Amino acid sequence: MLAGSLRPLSRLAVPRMLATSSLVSSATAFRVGVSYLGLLTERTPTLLRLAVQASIGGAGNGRAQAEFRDDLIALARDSAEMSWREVRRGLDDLDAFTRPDDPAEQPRRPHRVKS
Amino acid sequence: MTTGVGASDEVIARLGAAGEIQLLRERLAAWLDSVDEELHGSLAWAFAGTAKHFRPLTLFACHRALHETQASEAIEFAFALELMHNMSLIVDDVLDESAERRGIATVEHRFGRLTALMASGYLVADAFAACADDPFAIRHLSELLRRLGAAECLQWRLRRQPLGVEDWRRIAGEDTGSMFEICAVLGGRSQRLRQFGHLLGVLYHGCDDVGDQRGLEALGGGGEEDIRDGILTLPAALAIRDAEIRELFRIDDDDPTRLEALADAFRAQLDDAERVLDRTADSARAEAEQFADDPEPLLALVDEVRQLSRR
Repeated sequence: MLAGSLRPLSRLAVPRMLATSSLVSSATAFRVGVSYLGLLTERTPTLLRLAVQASIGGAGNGRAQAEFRDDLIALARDSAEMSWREVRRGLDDLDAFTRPDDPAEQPRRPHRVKS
Repeated sequence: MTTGVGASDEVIARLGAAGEIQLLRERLAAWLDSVDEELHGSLAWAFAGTAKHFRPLTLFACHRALHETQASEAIEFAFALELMHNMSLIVDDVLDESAERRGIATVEHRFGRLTALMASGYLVADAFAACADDPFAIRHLSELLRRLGAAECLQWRLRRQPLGVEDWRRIAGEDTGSMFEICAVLGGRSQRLRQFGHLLGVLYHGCDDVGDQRGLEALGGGGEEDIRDGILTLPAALAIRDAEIRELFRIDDDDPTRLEALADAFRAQLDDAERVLDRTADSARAEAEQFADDPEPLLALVDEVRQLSRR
């Protein structure tokens, strides 16, 4: 009786959601990769310069070591932030792309649990 | 009673939040009329200086970025957060033994330590009372209070330590960052803009540090106390990369020659500090563009906060 009172969801809904999630995951991985490459391209020259300065002796050696540490951790943190941002963007996309257009198709609780 | 009408009104008008801020000021004034007579003087004093209202501005901007409705429903949240913020200022001033805040004597200097501490407790109680019917708000105010407490201890534990910019970022993120995070969460009534709030808070904290070193009063001053107490500000984190400055930074005394040498070294780092802040502002803008339905109010807010280190 309960099943009879429900509007059936499309049989394609689950395969469609799985396909969408695969696409969104791939797109997210691609975007993370591209952004990470951009970040590396931007920061690597400075890091290399500091690495060389920090490795050779001289008056500015200690300062270069400290700068290198700061910049290296900053690169790691910015990468993590960027990845996290892209993953959240992917989640938002997945949510938007898998939302049924027709409100009648949205899963609904068939009866009130409490009256 | 004055609840902070001043130069910041231009910023408020530019951000299109004059109406909401006016409602907030009226709410604060009505609250002050109802507080216990014993603490009325000290609580009124806590709100008497010229407030900049960047926290409620963040809350209202995040509301507008995610909702089409007027932000007036967020007034109560902004009110609660203003109480929390002023509590944290009173406690900060007690710890720093500061004589002035926002151009007038601190609550502790005017009314004594006992009254200052009791007033801060009163503010927390009324902040929770304002949101008593809203579990979402209560949960986030609780988070804020926990994080502010831990951040204050962290900041003091790490005084005079030879740390770096990323350590500063951690302190800023838990101190000012947590407050702006909660503003963003309550304003948007979701977690979407949490990281935006966090980055904006770090930016604000950094602009405050740099502004102090430039001798600006716009953000409340306090640069001398920070140097004396060995607080890891952004210019300090950059300056102590130098071994000689690092040794000076670790000493615990009031020697004016040492303090002046440190102040000079910190001022020499201001250009580098501005670059760190530019990067943080860019990250905040990226968050806004990615996660806000309407990023414009957030981008305008980032621009206004970014200017604070230069005013």
